[in-house]
Amino acid sequence: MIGPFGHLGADACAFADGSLDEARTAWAEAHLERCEDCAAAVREQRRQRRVTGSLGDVEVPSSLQDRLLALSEGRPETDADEQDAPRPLRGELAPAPWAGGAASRTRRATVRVVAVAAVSVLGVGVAAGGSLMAIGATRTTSPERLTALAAVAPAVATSRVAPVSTARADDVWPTGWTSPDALPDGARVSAVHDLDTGDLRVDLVVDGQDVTVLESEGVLGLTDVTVTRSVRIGDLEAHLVGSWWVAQAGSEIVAVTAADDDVSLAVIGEFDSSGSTGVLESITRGWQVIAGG
Amino acid sequence: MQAEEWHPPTWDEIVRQYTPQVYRLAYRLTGQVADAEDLTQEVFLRVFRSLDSYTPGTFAGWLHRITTNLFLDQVRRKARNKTSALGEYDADAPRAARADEPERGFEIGNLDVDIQAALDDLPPEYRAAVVLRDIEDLTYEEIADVLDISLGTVRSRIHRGRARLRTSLAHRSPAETAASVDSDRRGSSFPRLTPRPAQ
Repeated sequence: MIGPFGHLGADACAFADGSLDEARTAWAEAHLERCEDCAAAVREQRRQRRVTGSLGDVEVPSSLQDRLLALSEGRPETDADEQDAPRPLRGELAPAPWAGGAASRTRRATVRVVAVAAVSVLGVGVAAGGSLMAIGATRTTSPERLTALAAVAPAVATSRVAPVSTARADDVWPTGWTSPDALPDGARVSAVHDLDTGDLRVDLVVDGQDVTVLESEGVLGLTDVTVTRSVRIGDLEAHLVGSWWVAQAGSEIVAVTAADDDVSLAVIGEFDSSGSTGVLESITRGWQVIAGG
Repeated sequence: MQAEEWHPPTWDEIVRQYTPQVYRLAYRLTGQVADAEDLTQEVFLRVFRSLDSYTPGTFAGWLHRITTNLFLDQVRRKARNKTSALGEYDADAPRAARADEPERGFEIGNLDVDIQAALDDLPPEYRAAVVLRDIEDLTYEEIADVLDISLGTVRSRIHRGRARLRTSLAHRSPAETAASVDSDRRGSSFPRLTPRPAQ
Protein backbone atom coordinates (compact mmCIF):
# COMPACT_ATOMS: atom_id res chain seq x y z
CA MET A 1 0.00 0.00 0.00
CA ILE A 2 1.32 3.39 -0.94
CA GLY A 3 1.27 5.86 1.89
CA PRO A 4 -1.02 8.90 1.93
CA PHE A 5 1.77 11.17 0.78
CA GLY A 6 2.76 9.00 -2.13
CA HIS A 7 1.02 8.30 -5.42
CA LEU A 8 -1.69 5.84 -6.27
CA GLY A 9 0.68 3.23 -7.66
CA ALA A 10 -1.01 -0.11 -8.10
CA ASP A 11 -4.13 1.33 -6.50
CA ALA A 12 -4.84 3.17 -9.74
CA CYS A 13 -6.60 0.08 -11.03
CA ALA A 14 -8.57 -0.45 -7.84
CA PHE A 15 -9.59 3.21 -7.89
CA ALA A 16 -10.58 2.97 -11.53
CA ASP A 17 -12.69 -0.06 -10.67
CA GLY A 18 -14.21 1.51 -7.57
CA SER A 19 -12.63 -1.17 -5.42
CA LEU A 20 -10.82 1.00 -2.89
CA ASP A 21 -12.24 1.48 0.55
CA GLU A 22 -13.86 4.75 1.46
CA ALA A 23 -10.93 6.43 3.15
CA ARG A 24 -8.49 5.47 0.46
CA THR A 25 -10.93 6.56 -2.24
CA ALA A 26 -11.32 9.97 -0.63
CA TRP A 27 -7.58 10.37 -0.43
CA ALA A 28 -7.19 9.24 -4.05
CA GLU A 29 -9.79 11.71 -5.31
CA ALA A 30 -8.02 14.58 -3.61
CA HIS A 31 -4.67 13.39 -4.87
CA LEU A 32 -5.87 13.03 -8.45
CA GLU A 33 -6.84 16.69 -8.56
CA ARG A 34 -3.25 17.71 -8.18
CA CYS A 35 -1.39 14.77 -9.72
CA GLU A 36 -1.69 14.50 -13.47
CA ASP A 37 0.47 11.37 -13.61
CA CYS A 38 -1.86 9.45 -11.36
CA ALA A 39 -4.91 10.82 -13.14
CA ALA A 40 -3.47 9.62 -16.43
CA ALA A 41 -2.76 6.23 -14.90
CA VAL A 42 -6.36 5.93 -13.76
CA ARG A 43 -7.61 6.90 -17.23
CA GLU A 44 -5.38 4.31 -18.80
CA GLN A 45 -6.60 1.66 -16.44
CA ARG A 46 -10.20 2.46 -17.28
CA ARG A 47 -9.55 2.55 -20.96
CA GLN A 48 -7.74 -0.75 -20.97
CA ARG A 49 -10.49 -2.34 -18.93
CA ARG A 50 -12.95 -1.33 -21.63
CA VAL A 51 -10.69 -2.58 -24.39
CA THR A 52 -10.24 -6.01 -22.85
CA GLY A 53 -13.88 -6.13 -21.83
CA SER A 54 -14.92 -5.43 -25.39
CA LEU A 55 -13.66 -8.83 -26.52
CA GLY A 56 -16.50 -10.69 -28.07
CA ASP A 57 -18.04 -13.81 -26.69
CA VAL A 58 -16.61 -16.97 -28.07
CA GLU A 59 -18.58 -19.64 -29.77
CA VAL A 60 -18.57 -23.04 -28.11
CA PRO A 61 -17.72 -25.71 -30.68
CA SER A 62 -20.71 -28.04 -30.91
CA SER A 63 -18.43 -31.05 -30.90
CA LEU A 64 -17.12 -29.93 -27.53
CA GLN A 65 -20.57 -29.68 -26.05
CA ASP A 66 -21.37 -33.15 -27.37
CA ARG A 67 -18.31 -34.54 -25.66
CA LEU A 68 -19.19 -32.84 -22.41
CA LEU A 69 -22.72 -34.17 -22.52
CA ALA A 70 -21.35 -37.65 -23.20
CA LEU A 71 -19.41 -37.56 -19.94
CA SER A 72 -22.57 -38.52 -18.09
CA GLU A 73 -23.00 -41.65 -20.15
CA GLY A 74 -20.21 -43.13 -18.16
CA ARG A 75 -18.28 -44.51 -21.05
CA PRO A 76 -16.91 -43.51 -24.37
CA GLU A 77 -19.30 -43.34 -27.22
CA THR A 78 -17.51 -46.01 -29.24
CA ASP A 79 -18.15 -48.56 -26.54
CA ALA A 80 -21.87 -48.43 -27.15
CA ASP A 81 -21.92 -51.93 -28.54
CA GLU A 82 -20.40 -53.43 -25.45
CA GLN A 83 -22.89 -55.24 -23.32
CA ASP A 84 -20.96 -55.59 -20.14
CA ALA A 85 -18.71 -52.64 -19.92
CA PRO A 86 -17.97 -51.70 -16.33
CA ARG A 87 -20.25 -48.88 -15.36
CA PRO A 88 -19.13 -46.12 -13.08
CA LEU A 89 -20.84 -45.87 -9.76
CA ARG A 90 -23.39 -43.17 -9.44
CA GLY A 91 -21.66 -39.88 -9.06
CA GLU A 92 -18.41 -41.47 -9.92
CA LEU A 93 -16.08 -40.71 -12.71
CA ALA A 94 -16.91 -41.29 -16.28
CA PRO A 95 -13.93 -42.23 -18.38
CA ALA A 96 -12.14 -39.27 -19.78
CA PRO A 97 -13.68 -38.69 -23.15
CA TRP A 98 -10.34 -39.04 -24.80
CA ALA A 99 -9.54 -42.25 -22.95
CA GLY A 100 -11.79 -44.41 -25.05
CA GLY A 101 -10.82 -43.03 -28.37
CA ALA A 102 -14.31 -41.82 -29.12
CA ALA A 103 -13.40 -38.23 -28.96
CA SER A 104 -10.11 -38.32 -30.68
CA ARG A 105 -8.68 -34.94 -31.27
CA THR A 106 -7.30 -33.67 -34.45
CA ARG A 107 -4.80 -31.51 -32.72
CA ARG A 108 -3.06 -32.20 -29.50
CA ALA A 109 0.01 -30.10 -29.54
CA THR A 110 0.09 -29.67 -25.80
CA VAL A 111 0.41 -33.38 -25.41
CA ARG A 112 3.09 -34.14 -27.88
CA VAL A 113 5.66 -32.19 -26.00
CA VAL A 114 5.11 -34.18 -22.86
CA ALA A 115 5.27 -37.39 -24.85
CA VAL A 116 8.58 -36.37 -26.31
CA ALA A 117 9.92 -35.61 -22.88
CA ALA A 118 8.76 -39.01 -21.74
CA VAL A 119 10.58 -40.78 -24.53
CA SER A 120 13.76 -38.98 -23.74
CA VAL A 121 13.59 -40.13 -20.15
CA LEU A 122 13.39 -43.69 -21.34
CA GLY A 123 16.24 -43.12 -23.65
CA VAL A 124 14.57 -44.44 -26.73
CA GLY A 125 13.39 -42.91 -29.89
CA VAL A 126 10.62 -44.96 -31.30
CA ALA A 127 10.33 -48.40 -29.82
CA ALA A 128 8.08 -51.18 -30.94
CA GLY A 129 4.91 -51.19 -28.96
CA GLY A 130 4.07 -54.19 -26.93
CA SER A 131 1.24 -55.10 -24.70
CA LEU A 132 0.12 -57.72 -22.32
CA MET A 133 -3.28 -59.03 -23.08
CA ALA A 134 -5.26 -61.10 -20.68
CA ILE A 135 -7.13 -63.65 -22.67
CA GLY A 136 -10.81 -63.81 -22.02
CA ALA A 137 -10.63 -62.74 -18.43
CA THR A 138 -13.35 -60.22 -17.83
CA ARG A 139 -12.96 -58.51 -14.54
CA THR A 140 -14.78 -55.60 -13.15
CA THR A 141 -13.35 -53.37 -10.55
CA SER A 142 -14.94 -50.84 -8.33
CA PRO A 143 -13.28 -47.46 -8.68
CA GLU A 144 -12.25 -47.27 -5.07
CA ARG A 145 -10.12 -50.35 -5.37
CA LEU A 146 -7.47 -48.46 -7.23
CA THR A 147 -6.68 -46.20 -4.35
CA ALA A 148 -6.61 -49.21 -2.10
CA LEU A 149 -4.14 -50.76 -4.47
CA ALA A 150 -2.09 -47.65 -4.46
CA ALA A 151 -2.24 -47.20 -0.72
CA VAL A 152 -0.96 -50.59 0.36
CA ALA A 153 1.11 -53.24 -1.25
CA PRO A 154 -1.44 -55.96 -1.99
CA ALA A 155 -0.77 -59.57 -1.16
CA VAL A 156 0.97 -61.39 -3.89
CA ALA A 157 -0.54 -64.61 -5.13
CA THR A 158 2.25 -65.55 -7.43
CA SER A 159 5.42 -63.79 -8.32
CA ARG A 160 7.96 -64.41 -10.93
CA VAL A 161 11.06 -62.61 -10.01
CA ALA A 162 13.68 -62.85 -12.65
CA PRO A 163 15.29 -59.81 -14.07
CA VAL A 164 14.56 -59.77 -17.73
CA SER A 165 15.95 -57.46 -20.24
CA THR A 166 14.15 -59.10 -23.08
CA ALA A 167 10.46 -58.81 -22.92
CA ARG A 168 9.98 -62.11 -24.65
CA ALA A 169 10.47 -64.13 -21.54
CA ASP A 170 7.13 -65.82 -21.45
CA ASP A 171 7.80 -67.73 -18.28
CA VAL A 172 7.95 -64.48 -16.41
CA TRP A 173 4.44 -63.41 -17.19
CA PRO A 174 1.43 -64.85 -15.44
CA THR A 175 -0.52 -67.52 -17.25
CA GLY A 176 -3.04 -66.13 -19.62
CA TRP A 177 -1.06 -63.07 -20.40
CA THR A 178 0.86 -62.41 -23.48
CA SER A 179 4.14 -60.69 -23.08
CA PRO A 180 5.11 -57.37 -24.50
CA ASP A 181 7.04 -57.43 -27.70
CA ALA A 182 9.81 -55.20 -26.55
CA LEU A 183 11.01 -53.09 -23.73
CA PRO A 184 12.58 -49.72 -24.29
CA ASP A 185 16.28 -49.39 -23.85
CA GLY A 186 17.09 -48.57 -20.30
CA ALA A 187 14.01 -50.34 -18.97
CA ARG A 188 13.78 -53.86 -17.62
CA VAL A 189 11.26 -55.84 -15.70
CA SER A 190 12.49 -56.95 -12.31
CA ALA A 191 9.37 -58.74 -11.16
CA VAL A 192 5.83 -59.48 -12.20
CA HIS A 193 3.22 -60.17 -9.57
CA ASP A 194 -0.14 -61.72 -10.18
CA LEU A 195 -1.98 -60.26 -7.23
CA ASP A 196 -4.63 -62.16 -5.35
CA THR A 197 -6.92 -59.27 -6.01
CA GLY A 198 -6.81 -60.23 -9.65
CA ASP A 199 -4.65 -57.29 -10.53
CA LEU A 200 -1.21 -57.10 -11.91
CA ARG A 201 1.85 -55.52 -10.45
CA VAL A 202 4.98 -55.04 -12.48
CA ASP A 203 8.23 -53.87 -11.00
CA LEU A 204 10.46 -52.10 -13.43
CA VAL A 205 13.85 -50.57 -13.40
CA VAL A 206 14.02 -47.61 -15.71
CA ASP A 207 17.40 -45.99 -16.09
CA GLY A 208 18.40 -47.49 -12.77
CA GLN A 209 15.32 -46.24 -10.97
CA ASP A 210 12.71 -48.52 -9.45
CA VAL A 211 9.24 -48.10 -10.84
CA THR A 212 6.15 -49.88 -9.62
CA VAL A 213 3.18 -50.32 -11.90
CA LEU A 214 -0.25 -51.50 -10.82
CA GLU A 215 -2.93 -52.38 -13.30
CA SER A 216 -6.54 -53.02 -12.74
CA GLU A 217 -9.59 -53.17 -14.85
CA GLY A 218 -12.23 -50.65 -14.03
CA VAL A 219 -13.19 -47.06 -14.03
CA LEU A 220 -11.04 -44.57 -12.25
CA GLY A 221 -12.82 -42.77 -9.44
CA LEU A 222 -11.22 -39.76 -7.87
CA THR A 223 -14.09 -38.40 -5.83
CA ASP A 224 -12.72 -39.26 -2.45
CA VAL A 225 -9.07 -38.74 -3.07
CA THR A 226 -6.96 -35.65 -3.29
CA VAL A 227 -5.54 -35.05 -6.71
CA THR A 228 -2.55 -32.80 -6.40
CA ARG A 229 -1.75 -32.53 -10.07
CA SER A 230 -3.17 -33.57 -13.40
CA VAL A 231 -1.42 -33.72 -16.72
CA ARG A 232 -2.12 -35.09 -20.14
CA ILE A 233 0.28 -37.53 -21.69
CA GLY A 234 -0.50 -38.84 -25.08
CA ASP A 235 -4.17 -39.69 -24.96
CA LEU A 236 -4.15 -40.18 -21.23
CA GLU A 237 -4.97 -37.90 -18.38
CA ALA A 238 -2.74 -38.73 -15.45
CA HIS A 239 -3.51 -37.64 -11.90
CA LEU A 240 -1.14 -37.51 -8.99
CA VAL A 241 -2.70 -39.08 -5.90
CA GLY A 242 -0.27 -39.25 -3.04
CA SER A 243 2.90 -40.54 -4.62
CA TRP A 244 1.04 -42.44 -7.35
CA TRP A 245 0.28 -41.28 -10.82
CA VAL A 246 -2.98 -42.84 -11.89
CA ALA A 247 -4.70 -42.86 -15.23
CA GLN A 248 -7.59 -44.40 -17.04
CA ALA A 249 -6.16 -46.25 -20.01
CA GLY A 250 -9.09 -47.48 -22.00
CA SER A 251 -10.93 -49.87 -19.71
CA GLU A 252 -7.96 -50.18 -17.41
CA ILE A 253 -6.71 -48.24 -14.47
CA VAL A 254 -2.99 -47.79 -14.24
CA ALA A 255 -1.06 -46.58 -11.22
CA VAL A 256 2.63 -45.84 -11.37
CA THR A 257 5.05 -44.68 -8.77
CA ALA A 258 8.74 -43.87 -8.90
CA ALA A 259 11.10 -41.58 -7.08
CA ASP A 260 11.05 -39.18 -9.97
CA ASP A 261 7.73 -37.93 -11.30
CA ASP A 262 9.15 -37.63 -14.78
CA VAL A 263 9.96 -41.31 -14.79
CA SER A 264 6.47 -42.17 -13.57
CA LEU A 265 4.98 -40.05 -16.29
CA ALA A 266 7.27 -41.56 -18.88
CA VAL A 267 6.07 -45.01 -17.93
CA ILE A 268 2.42 -44.05 -17.78
CA GLY A 269 2.86 -42.47 -21.16
CA GLU A 270 3.66 -45.89 -22.56
CA PHE A 271 0.09 -46.91 -22.04
CA ASP A 272 -2.39 -45.86 -24.60
CA SER A 273 -6.03 -45.17 -24.42
CA SER A 274 -6.74 -48.32 -26.42
CA GLY A 275 -8.70 -46.15 -28.71
CA SER A 276 -6.84 -47.37 -31.74
CA THR A 277 -7.66 -50.99 -31.16
CA GLY A 278 -11.13 -50.25 -29.91
CA VAL A 279 -13.32 -53.28 -30.14
CA LEU A 280 -10.62 -55.88 -29.80
CA GLU A 281 -9.34 -54.19 -26.73
CA SER A 282 -12.77 -54.04 -25.23
CA ILE A 283 -13.64 -57.64 -25.96
CA THR A 284 -10.51 -59.09 -24.55
CA ARG A 285 -10.57 -56.78 -21.59
CA GLY A 286 -6.91 -56.75 -22.08
CA TRP A 287 -4.48 -55.37 -19.67
CA GLN A 288 -1.78 -53.40 -21.21
CA VAL A 289 1.55 -53.40 -19.64
CA ILE A 290 4.21 -50.94 -20.29
CA ALA A 291 6.57 -52.35 -22.69
CA GLY A 292 7.61 -50.00 -25.35
CA GLY A 293 6.88 -46.77 -27.01
CA MET B 1 -32.51 -39.97 -13.01
CA GLN B 2 -35.67 -38.00 -13.67
CA ALA B 3 -38.01 -39.80 -11.25
CA GLU B 4 -36.24 -38.90 -8.04
CA GLU B 5 -37.84 -36.65 -5.46
CA TRP B 6 -34.98 -34.23 -5.50
CA HIS B 7 -31.91 -34.14 -7.56
CA PRO B 8 -29.26 -31.64 -8.43
CA PRO B 9 -29.44 -30.17 -11.90
CA THR B 10 -29.14 -32.79 -14.58
CA TRP B 11 -25.87 -33.15 -16.35
CA ASP B 12 -27.43 -31.78 -19.49
CA GLU B 13 -28.55 -28.68 -17.63
CA ILE B 14 -25.14 -28.15 -16.12
CA VAL B 15 -23.35 -28.59 -19.41
CA ARG B 16 -25.67 -26.34 -21.35
CA GLN B 17 -25.75 -23.64 -18.73
CA TYR B 18 -22.08 -23.45 -17.87
CA THR B 19 -20.19 -24.48 -20.97
CA PRO B 20 -20.25 -20.98 -22.48
CA GLN B 21 -18.80 -19.48 -19.31
CA VAL B 22 -16.11 -22.10 -18.88
CA TYR B 23 -15.17 -22.15 -22.52
CA ARG B 24 -14.99 -18.36 -22.75
CA LEU B 25 -12.67 -18.22 -19.76
CA ALA B 26 -10.63 -21.15 -21.07
CA TYR B 27 -10.28 -19.55 -24.46
CA ARG B 28 -9.28 -16.16 -23.11
CA LEU B 29 -6.72 -17.80 -20.85
CA THR B 30 -5.22 -20.19 -23.38
CA GLY B 31 -5.78 -18.17 -26.53
CA GLN B 32 -6.18 -21.36 -28.54
CA VAL B 33 -9.27 -23.27 -29.54
CA ALA B 34 -7.74 -26.71 -29.04
CA ASP B 35 -6.28 -25.81 -25.66
CA ALA B 36 -9.51 -24.16 -24.59
CA GLU B 37 -11.42 -27.32 -25.52
CA ASP B 38 -8.99 -29.47 -23.58
CA LEU B 39 -9.19 -27.21 -20.58
CA THR B 40 -12.97 -27.03 -20.69
CA GLN B 41 -13.16 -30.80 -20.92
CA GLU B 42 -10.91 -31.22 -17.92
CA VAL B 43 -12.99 -28.78 -15.93
CA PHE B 44 -16.19 -30.65 -16.66
CA LEU B 45 -14.54 -33.95 -15.91
CA ARG B 46 -13.85 -32.64 -12.44
CA VAL B 47 -17.33 -31.25 -12.15
CA PHE B 48 -18.76 -34.62 -13.06
CA ARG B 49 -16.68 -36.32 -10.41
CA SER B 50 -17.82 -33.88 -7.82
CA LEU B 51 -21.53 -33.73 -8.47
CA ASP B 52 -22.13 -35.07 -4.99
CA SER B 53 -20.81 -31.89 -3.50
CA TYR B 54 -22.81 -29.63 -5.78
CA THR B 55 -23.99 -26.59 -3.88
CA PRO B 56 -26.36 -24.18 -5.55
CA GLY B 57 -25.08 -20.65 -5.67
CA THR B 58 -21.41 -21.43 -5.52
CA PHE B 59 -21.17 -23.17 -8.82
CA ALA B 60 -20.07 -20.35 -11.08
CA GLY B 61 -17.33 -19.29 -8.69
CA TRP B 62 -16.21 -22.84 -8.34
CA LEU B 63 -15.94 -23.16 -12.11
CA HIS B 64 -13.85 -20.02 -12.27
CA ARG B 65 -11.56 -21.46 -9.66
CA ILE B 66 -11.16 -24.86 -11.31
CA THR B 67 -10.68 -23.44 -14.77
CA THR B 68 -8.14 -20.83 -13.78
CA ASN B 69 -6.13 -23.06 -11.53
CA LEU B 70 -6.05 -25.94 -13.99
CA PHE B 71 -4.77 -23.49 -16.55
CA LEU B 72 -2.08 -22.14 -14.25
CA ASP B 73 -1.08 -25.65 -13.20
CA GLN B 74 -0.59 -26.61 -16.81
CA VAL B 75 1.41 -23.52 -17.54
CA ARG B 76 3.66 -24.05 -14.56
CA ARG B 77 4.16 -27.67 -15.36
CA LYS B 78 5.09 -26.82 -18.91
CA ALA B 79 7.52 -24.25 -17.70
CA ARG B 80 9.13 -26.81 -15.45
CA ASN B 81 9.42 -29.28 -18.28
CA LYS B 82 10.89 -26.63 -20.50
CA THR B 83 8.51 -27.63 -23.21
CA SER B 84 7.98 -24.18 -24.50
CA ALA B 85 8.89 -25.12 -28.02
CA LEU B 86 5.30 -24.68 -29.01
CA GLY B 87 5.22 -21.29 -27.45
CA GLU B 88 1.57 -21.55 -26.62
CA TYR B 89 1.94 -20.62 -23.03
CA ASP B 90 5.28 -18.99 -23.32
CA ALA B 91 4.80 -15.55 -21.91
CA ASP B 92 8.34 -14.58 -22.71
CA ALA B 93 7.98 -15.09 -26.41
CA PRO B 94 5.57 -12.56 -27.80
CA ARG B 95 4.28 -13.37 -31.21
CA ALA B 96 2.45 -11.39 -33.77
CA ALA B 97 -1.27 -11.72 -34.02
CA ARG B 98 -2.40 -13.39 -37.18
CA ALA B 99 -5.90 -12.68 -38.25
CA ASP B 100 -5.84 -15.61 -40.64
CA GLU B 101 -4.94 -18.07 -37.93
CA PRO B 102 -7.48 -20.86 -38.28
CA GLU B 103 -7.50 -21.37 -34.55
CA ARG B 104 -9.12 -18.01 -34.25
CA GLY B 105 -11.46 -18.25 -37.12
CA PHE B 106 -14.40 -17.00 -35.15
CA GLU B 107 -12.76 -13.81 -34.00
CA ILE B 108 -14.31 -10.84 -35.62
CA GLY B 109 -11.73 -8.62 -37.12
CA ASN B 110 -8.15 -7.92 -36.31
CA LEU B 111 -8.81 -6.00 -33.16
CA ASP B 112 -10.18 -8.90 -31.18
CA VAL B 113 -7.24 -10.90 -32.45
CA ASP B 114 -4.86 -8.18 -31.36
CA ILE B 115 -6.33 -7.97 -27.90
CA GLN B 116 -6.23 -11.72 -27.47
CA ALA B 117 -2.66 -11.81 -28.75
CA ALA B 118 -1.72 -9.12 -26.25
CA LEU B 119 -3.37 -11.17 -23.51
CA ASP B 120 -1.42 -14.22 -24.65
CA ASP B 121 1.78 -12.29 -24.23
CA LEU B 122 1.08 -11.47 -20.61
CA PRO B 123 2.62 -13.64 -17.92
CA PRO B 124 -0.07 -16.21 -17.11
CA GLU B 125 -0.65 -14.93 -13.59
CA TYR B 126 -1.28 -11.40 -14.86
CA ARG B 127 -3.44 -12.73 -17.66
CA ALA B 128 -5.58 -14.69 -15.23
CA ALA B 129 -6.15 -11.67 -13.00
CA VAL B 130 -6.98 -9.36 -15.90
CA VAL B 131 -9.29 -11.85 -17.60
CA LEU B 132 -11.15 -12.59 -14.38
CA ARG B 133 -11.59 -8.88 -13.75
CA ASP B 134 -12.16 -7.35 -17.16
CA ILE B 135 -13.86 -10.20 -18.99
CA GLU B 136 -15.47 -12.22 -16.24
CA ASP B 137 -16.33 -9.20 -14.11
CA LEU B 138 -15.20 -10.74 -10.87
CA THR B 139 -14.58 -8.44 -7.93
CA TYR B 140 -11.12 -8.04 -6.51
CA GLU B 141 -12.18 -10.09 -3.51
CA GLU B 142 -13.45 -12.88 -5.71
CA ILE B 143 -10.23 -12.89 -7.70
CA ALA B 144 -8.19 -13.04 -4.52
CA ASP B 145 -10.26 -16.04 -3.55
CA VAL B 146 -10.00 -17.80 -6.91
CA LEU B 147 -6.26 -17.32 -7.18
CA ASP B 148 -5.61 -17.67 -3.46
CA ILE B 149 -3.59 -14.48 -3.33
CA SER B 150 -3.89 -11.28 -1.32
CA LEU B 151 -5.94 -8.28 -2.40
CA GLY B 152 -2.73 -6.32 -2.76
CA THR B 153 -1.36 -8.91 -5.14
CA VAL B 154 -4.62 -8.87 -7.11
CA ARG B 155 -4.33 -5.09 -7.50
CA SER B 156 -0.73 -5.32 -8.50
CA ARG B 157 -1.36 -7.98 -11.13
CA ILE B 158 -4.33 -6.23 -12.65
CA HIS B 159 -2.55 -2.90 -12.63
CA ARG B 160 0.58 -4.22 -14.27
CA GLY B 161 -1.34 -6.52 -16.56
CA ARG B 162 -3.43 -3.68 -17.95
CA ALA B 163 -0.41 -1.43 -18.31
CA ARG B 164 1.40 -4.14 -20.27
CA LEU B 165 -1.64 -4.72 -22.44
CA ARG B 166 -1.77 -1.06 -23.31
CA THR B 167 1.86 -0.98 -24.26
CA SER B 168 1.52 -4.16 -26.25
CA LEU B 169 -1.59 -3.00 -28.08
CA ALA B 170 -0.08 0.37 -28.83
CA HIS B 171 2.65 -1.47 -30.71
CA ARG B 172 0.31 -3.82 -32.44
CA SER B 173 -2.20 -1.58 -34.09
CA PRO B 174 -0.83 1.93 -34.34
CA ALA B 175 -2.83 2.71 -37.46
CA GLU B 176 -6.27 1.79 -36.25
CA THR B 177 -8.70 4.51 -35.54
CA ALA B 178 -10.08 4.87 -32.09
CA ALA B 179 -13.67 4.08 -31.45
CA SER B 180 -15.51 4.67 -28.27
CA VAL B 181 -16.96 1.71 -26.57
CA ASP B 182 -19.41 1.44 -23.75
CA SER B 183 -18.08 0.00 -20.58
CA ASP B 184 -20.51 -2.87 -20.77
CA ARG B 185 -20.33 -4.12 -24.30
CA ARG B 186 -19.72 -7.71 -23.45
CA GLY B 187 -22.64 -9.88 -24.28
CA SER B 188 -23.76 -7.79 -27.19
CA SER B 189 -23.79 -9.47 -30.52
CA PHE B 190 -21.27 -9.41 -33.31
CA PRO B 191 -20.09 -7.40 -35.04
CA ARG B 192 -18.71 -4.87 -32.70
CA LEU B 193 -16.24 -2.06 -32.71
CA THR B 194 -13.21 -2.42 -30.59
CA PRO B 195 -11.36 0.66 -29.51
CA ARG B 196 -7.75 1.23 -30.24
CA PRO B 197 -5.72 2.17 -27.19
CA ALA B 198 -4.62 5.74 -27.02
CA GLN B 199 -1.06 6.46 -27.97
